[in-house]
Parts: sequence; C-alpha cells; structure tokens
Amino acid sequence: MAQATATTHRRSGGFWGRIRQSDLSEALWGYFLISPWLVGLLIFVAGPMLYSVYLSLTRYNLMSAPQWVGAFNYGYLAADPLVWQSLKVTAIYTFLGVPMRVVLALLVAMLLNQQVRAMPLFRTIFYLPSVVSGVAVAILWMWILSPEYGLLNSALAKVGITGPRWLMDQDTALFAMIVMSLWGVGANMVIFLAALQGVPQHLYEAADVEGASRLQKTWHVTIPSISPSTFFVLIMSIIGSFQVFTQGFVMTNGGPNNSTLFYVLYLYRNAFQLLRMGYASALAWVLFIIIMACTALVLRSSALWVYYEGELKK
Amino acid sequence: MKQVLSRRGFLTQLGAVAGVGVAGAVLSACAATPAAPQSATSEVEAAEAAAPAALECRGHVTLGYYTSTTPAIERMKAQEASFHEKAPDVDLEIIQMTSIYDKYATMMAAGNEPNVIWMGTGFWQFVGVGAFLDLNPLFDADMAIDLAEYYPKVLELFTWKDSLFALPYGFTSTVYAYNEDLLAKEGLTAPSDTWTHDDLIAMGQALTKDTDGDGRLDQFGTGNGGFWQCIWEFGADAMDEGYTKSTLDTEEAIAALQYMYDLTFGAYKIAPTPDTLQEIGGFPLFNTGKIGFWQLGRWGVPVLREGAVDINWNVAPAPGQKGSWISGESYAISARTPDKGAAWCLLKHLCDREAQETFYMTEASATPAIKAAAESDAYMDDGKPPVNDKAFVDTLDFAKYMPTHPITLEINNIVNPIVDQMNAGDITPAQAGAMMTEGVDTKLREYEGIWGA
Repeated sequence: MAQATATTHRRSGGFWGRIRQSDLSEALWGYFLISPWLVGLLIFVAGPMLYSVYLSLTRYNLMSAPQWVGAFNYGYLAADPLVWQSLKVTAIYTFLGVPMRVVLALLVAMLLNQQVRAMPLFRTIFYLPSVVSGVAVAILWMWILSPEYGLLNSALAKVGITGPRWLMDQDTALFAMIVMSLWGVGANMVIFLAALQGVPQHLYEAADVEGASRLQKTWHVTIPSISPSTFFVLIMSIIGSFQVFTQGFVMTNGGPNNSTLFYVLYLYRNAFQLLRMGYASALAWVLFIIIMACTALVLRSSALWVYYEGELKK
Repeated sequence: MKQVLSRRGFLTQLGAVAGVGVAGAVLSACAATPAAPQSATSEVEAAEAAAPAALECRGHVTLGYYTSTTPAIERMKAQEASFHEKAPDVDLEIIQMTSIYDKYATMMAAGNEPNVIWMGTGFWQFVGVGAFLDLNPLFDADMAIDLAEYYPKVLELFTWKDSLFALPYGFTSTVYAYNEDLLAKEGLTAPSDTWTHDDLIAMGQALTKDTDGDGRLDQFGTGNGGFWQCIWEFGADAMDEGYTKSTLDTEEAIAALQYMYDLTFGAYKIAPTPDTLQEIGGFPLFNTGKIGFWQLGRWGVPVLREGAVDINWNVAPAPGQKGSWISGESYAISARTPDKGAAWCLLKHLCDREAQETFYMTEASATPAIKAAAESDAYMDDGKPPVNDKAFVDTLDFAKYMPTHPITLEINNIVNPIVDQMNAGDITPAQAGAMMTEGVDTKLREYEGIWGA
C-alpha cells in the first residue's frame, strides 16, 4: 500500500506539480482516443484559420507569393462603401429574419406536439423543405416570386391585390428573401419539438392546480422549460444568418442596386472573381469577430432568460 | 484514494497539446505554401534557350474544356480523338468544366489548374495576375501559326500589354436577328446593312402591341441590348483609349443611357421589361414570334436553328453601325505549366485553321478567327439560316469589346446597380452617367495605386 502510494505520489512544484502519474496516463489515453478528431481539427480548421490571418495581412492573388502589407486590407475595408452596404443588408436579414424563424419554428413545434392522428406525417411535411438543397430552393422561389407570372402574385391577383416586384425591386428584394428563409424552419422545429416533449408534466399539473390558463402555462412553464433549446437555436440561427450566401448568389447576384448584396457574397466576389485573397481573408476575419461578438452578447444575456432544470435563479 | 483529473488540469493539458499541435500546423501550413512560381517571362526565356527540346510535342497536359452544350461535348470528344492521332506522345487529360471561371480560380488556389484552359470574356479575371503564359515567344520559336491570318481585332481581345496571352479560334459579334414573318405581317421592310436607330424605333413601335386584349403587352419590337451594347451602338465607351479615365459622362454615353431607358420604360416602350425577360427569356420570345428584333452573338445561331423552326429569320448589323459587342473564344496556357511543348502542341491543335474549319464551323456557334475560314463559302453559304452570315464579319469593322483592363470585372459591379436605379426612375440618365464615371475613375485610381502595383 505504501509502495503503491509512493509510486503514485504527486510530484511537487512547477507546472507538473499537481499531476499524478495515473492522471497523466488517463489524460494521454484521452488524447489518443480523440486524436483523429483533434488532428483533423488542427490540420483542416485551426491551421487554415491561422494561415488566413496571415493572408489578411498580405496582398495575394494566387499566382504570386503573398506580399506583406500589414493592416492595409483592414483599413481599406473600413473605407469600402460596399462593405458597409453588405453589412447593413446582412444585419437586416439577420435581425429581422432570425426572430421570425425562431418564433415560427416554435409555433410549428407546438402545433406538431399535439396528439393528433397522422402527426408523424405532418412532422415529415414540415421538415422536408429544410433538407432540399439550397440552390434548388433558390430557383424554386425565383419562380414563386416572379412578378408577372409567379405563384405568389398570381394568388394575390385572385383577391384583387397587385403584388410587388419582389426580387426585381430594391425595396422588396431583401424582404422577399427573409420571407423565403422561413421555408426552412424544419430543422429548428425538430429541436423545439424534442424540447417540448421533455418538459416535465408535473409542472403543468402544478400550474393546473394553481388555475393557470393555457396562455399562462405556455408563458410561465413551456417557454422557460425549453429556454436552453431556444438559446441554442438562437445562437445557431444568428451564426448561420450572418453567413447567408446562396440566395444572393443564385437569385439576384446582389441586386437590384446592391439591396441583396450579402457580406459573404461580397467576400466571394473579392476572393474568386477579383482574386484578392488577402482582402477577402480580412473580410472573413471581420465577419468572424462580428459573429463572435453577437454570440458573446447572447451568451451574456442567457443568465437572465435561460433556465436549466434544477437550477435556482436568484 | 485515486483522484480524478480536475477540469482545470484537463484544460491545461489540452491547451498545451493544442499549442504544440497549432505550432505544428502553422509550420506545415507555411511549408505547404506554394513556392512563388517563376515569372512567365523567365520560364519562357528558359524555354527559348532550349527551344527545340522545350517545344517538342511530348509529355503530359491537362485541358480545361468548356462543355456548356451537348454539341460542345461531341466536339470535345472529336478533338480529343484527333489530337491522340496527331500527337501520340502526349498524354492528354481533359477536365470538363461548365462553370469555368469559378472552377479555374478554385483550381488555381489549389495549384492544380489545367495546363491549357478555355477562355472567353473572363480572360480579364486572370491575365492581370499573371495566370497565363505569354505566347509571343512561342509564336516566334515555332512558325506553324501565322498571326497575320487572324482578324487583328480578334487578337486584340486577348492581348495584354502588347503580348498575346490566349489564341482565339473564334469570335462572336452581336447582330440583330429579326423575324421576317412578323415584319412582313406589319408591312415592314427588312433592315438594310445601313439602317439607323430611328428605323428600329419606328419598326419597334409598329410591332409592339397587346395582341390578346388583356391589357398587357405580349408582342414587342426589340430586345434591350443592355448597357454595353447600347453604349457602343451610340459610339460611346466606358473608358478612353489609354484607360486613364472613364467616359461614361460624355454626350454620347448619356444619349445611350437615355435610349436604353426609353426602349423599356420611357418614350418608346418597345422592349420587354427585365421582369418579363427573367420569366420568359429572350430566345423563347423570339422563337414563338413574340418579338421582332433580338440581339444575339454568333453563339445564338445554333439556339435559333433549333428553336425558331416555325419562323423565317435573318440577321442585320447593329443600327447606326457605330459600335457593337464582340467577344472571343480562345485557349490559354497556364503560366505554371511544366510541359510547355505539349501544351503548345495542344493549343495549336485547338485553334489553328484546320481546327477552325474542322471543328467549329460545323457547329456555327462562333465565327472563325482566321479571315480565310470566316470568309469562305463553307461558312458564308452553308445553306442554313441566317442567310446574311456576312453581317457577323462586317460587324468587325465597328465592333467594340470590353476594356482590355483588369478592372473590367469591377465595371459591371459599378454599372449594374446604377442602371437598376435609373430603370426604377430614381435617377436620370445624366445622373447615372456621372455616378458611373465617378465609380469607374475611383476603381482605376485604386488599381493603379493598389491592386495593380
């Protein structure tokens, strides 16, 4: 026993001072077992990210070696009017579209959480659009939103309404894309559905005892109970929304009049059309910082509105 | 008692391992940076020093082939078979590409772009960054191709700083296809080779009507050729000859913008709206006899031959004869090609006179770049519409092309939003011209001071 203790006795002092041999062995086994993922992360994610930091400080056109320019790209970016236009377009798309998508996903999940016959069929129907490829969806919606012969304006005409020009009008094109994005709420709906089915029944029973109405139960029981899922959906939606690209690229190419010039579309133009890889890298890192900042804000706010089971809030 | 590794301990160790791994990844990334290629000039100088061996028809070569249509795929197979017979010592690998410029840029980033690549209007996306080999020394070393046989203006399309960087096999000039039956029905005579914009407007107004009485126009006079076509037809251009400043605020340019606006939204209203064109398309309108005139390049001829079977149609040069669009189709050699002899051998096979007469004239999607081929009976009198094939060649006399400058790509990004504002009625053509001039001049200054330095 004493011998066993001696062999596993902690080494004193320094960085390794509190590491036991058995702990080290356990840690090494852990790293070994996750090494395939870790190596992949380092080679295919961390490495390229660090290289793009370097590229953002250079002028690089693929044919010549990167030429060091320091912070020039970032200065140019700050003065580029199309960067501000694309940020404005993307911000509107995100801050209008994300709340709409989250709320709609939750409402649909609540509907699909009822005990109704053929519910699996309804759930499948609502989920299907989110698995259709982005380009196919974009082309389909181009036809739906077509001003003269599209489904939407034809339907509006039947009730005597002259529909707008949707994607052909700078005042309505972005809004049309926000509406189009509601088509893919299926993925978030599934997450909310799982969360709704995990709400403890005893909470509803307690609310019934207190005489709570349906709306009160929803507001005071359901929504707080699913707040962790809401938190997750909100963050993922914000991150995804800032990176919107396919709709702008396929449907409008940023027009009319740059009203749908999303940030990633502008980044793509600089990278793959103008071959300004250094500048495009700088654009990418600015987007990264913006997304991180938004994510951090949501994280900080989560203490106020996210409730975990068993947690006591002050 | 055994203690479990603490969270802090685990994170500390993870950070240490990650740090070592990241350092390794950085080193590997730095090592993986492609070595800066030798400049095209120095590579060709080396080739010239060993000229006979360097231009031998042997080695491995990859070809990026533009296969946007079924005839193009058939043509590719025929050219591949023919090349194998002609150059048995060359190992040819063909990469079919439909979205050619995006794919080529991506392959360049990976360092595995094709050695020989098809190029059209996207040429300017790449030539300014040194993507292509200067062909002049190769022409000097190998006298097999006589550039004097080619239309000079077509060679200019692929010339950058007095060097030819791609060899054209064909060009496409924009002419006006017209529906002879529709014109005859309205008692109109076919346009002559010297017709004017006033003639087009008059005919267009006679043709434009609501044929079914539903309150919506469904027969149109002409298509709206778009910004570049209108600008050139009025004798204007985006920049001056030396590419020192924009000329989109000149009288001619503003007149062109006013005309472009009037065709669809203003005084004339004889062209379909962008909404209609997006939904129906110009070729379906023409093929079904719903439009009298439609601008097209030579590439549109096979489309009409297949689609416009129920109408009689012909072509005429652009009205006014001051300008019209011309673009070319060519092949270029990548500056990073290792087997330049094999690449040169393939380039000749794809673009020389034999190739033009054997492979491209039958497909008829481009006019041969060699004068003798384009002006031969085999091309001019092939017995298929249009009868006036000569219009495509005659247009060369006054044809204009996109500025041979790397900022050409950015000009569309500047111009298109302003045209959208003009079409929406938010700004006048004069204001549009001023805004375009300011935008293009800014990009010129930026290119000279920053990107082109």
